[in-house]
Amino acid sequence: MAKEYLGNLELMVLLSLIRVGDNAYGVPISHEIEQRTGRDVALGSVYAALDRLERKGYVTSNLGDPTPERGGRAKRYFQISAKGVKEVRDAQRMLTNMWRNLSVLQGEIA
Amino acid sequence: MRSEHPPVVASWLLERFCAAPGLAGDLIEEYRVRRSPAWYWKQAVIAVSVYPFSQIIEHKWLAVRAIATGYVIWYVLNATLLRGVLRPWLGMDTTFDRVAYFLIGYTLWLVNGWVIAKLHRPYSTAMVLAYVLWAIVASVPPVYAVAVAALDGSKEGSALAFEVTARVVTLLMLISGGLLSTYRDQLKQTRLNAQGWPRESPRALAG
Repeated sequence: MAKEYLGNLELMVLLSLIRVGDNAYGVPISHEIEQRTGRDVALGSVYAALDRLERKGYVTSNLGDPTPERGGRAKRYFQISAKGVKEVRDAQRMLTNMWRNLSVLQGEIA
Repeated sequence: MRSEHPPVVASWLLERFCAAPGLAGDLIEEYRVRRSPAWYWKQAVIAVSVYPFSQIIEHKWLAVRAIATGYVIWYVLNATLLRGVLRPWLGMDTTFDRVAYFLIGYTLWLVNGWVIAKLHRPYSTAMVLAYVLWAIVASVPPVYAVAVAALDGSKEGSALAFEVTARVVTLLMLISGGLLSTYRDQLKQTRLNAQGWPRESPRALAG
């Protein structure tokens, strides 16, 4: 089967998931993306990305208990899997290699 | 003063057309803490537009199966039984015959949407939507033919209005059938939750 690479949003979601740690669900994940990147990503898009990541085996999820402040709806907690951590490392290595020795970008920084 | 409850219509759309467990609760939580009704509406519209399409793309073969299933049901019920057996039997002479024929026809479309949703859980909404999209594409040639005929005068304008209305009602019946099926599943899930059944990943439940 062909290897499925991470999309931009998927990578951001995985990194946010690692940063939030335990008890990560949609709201803190989208807050983390907003704070770190300045992008206001719709929760529906975050969930669509999380579903894709779960299908690829990079995250797992389970439902918590329903709470009154959420209109009786349960939270869906997400955890990154070992396969997900490996994929993030691979993406970091790949992007770092792509960035290395780019004179145009170095000129901009200077 | 802003209501503590999010907009009802947006919530209804979200519950019926976006089957992402956890998302509705997250939006309510955010809305109650720091967001406006306009934000809630925007999020609901994005979720309803993005999530089912994302599921269709993610599960292409399931979408193909949903379209094939819908086509087989249409062929057996509508094309063979309704047009081949019931229509000649009814005769279509009186208004009652015609009303009965269309009522039965639209009920069969409702059944079609219901069966597609039932056979494609937990992606029911997305798979019914896949069939609806296919039905829209399949409707283009006949509607175009009637439109051309209406323009060159060989058919009356009312024929075009009838063709378009009939197809729109067909699509609405398909969607309604799918919604009825998913609503029934949601009620069942709520009852199971109330009984304290273990709540695992929706993907694990689907498997």
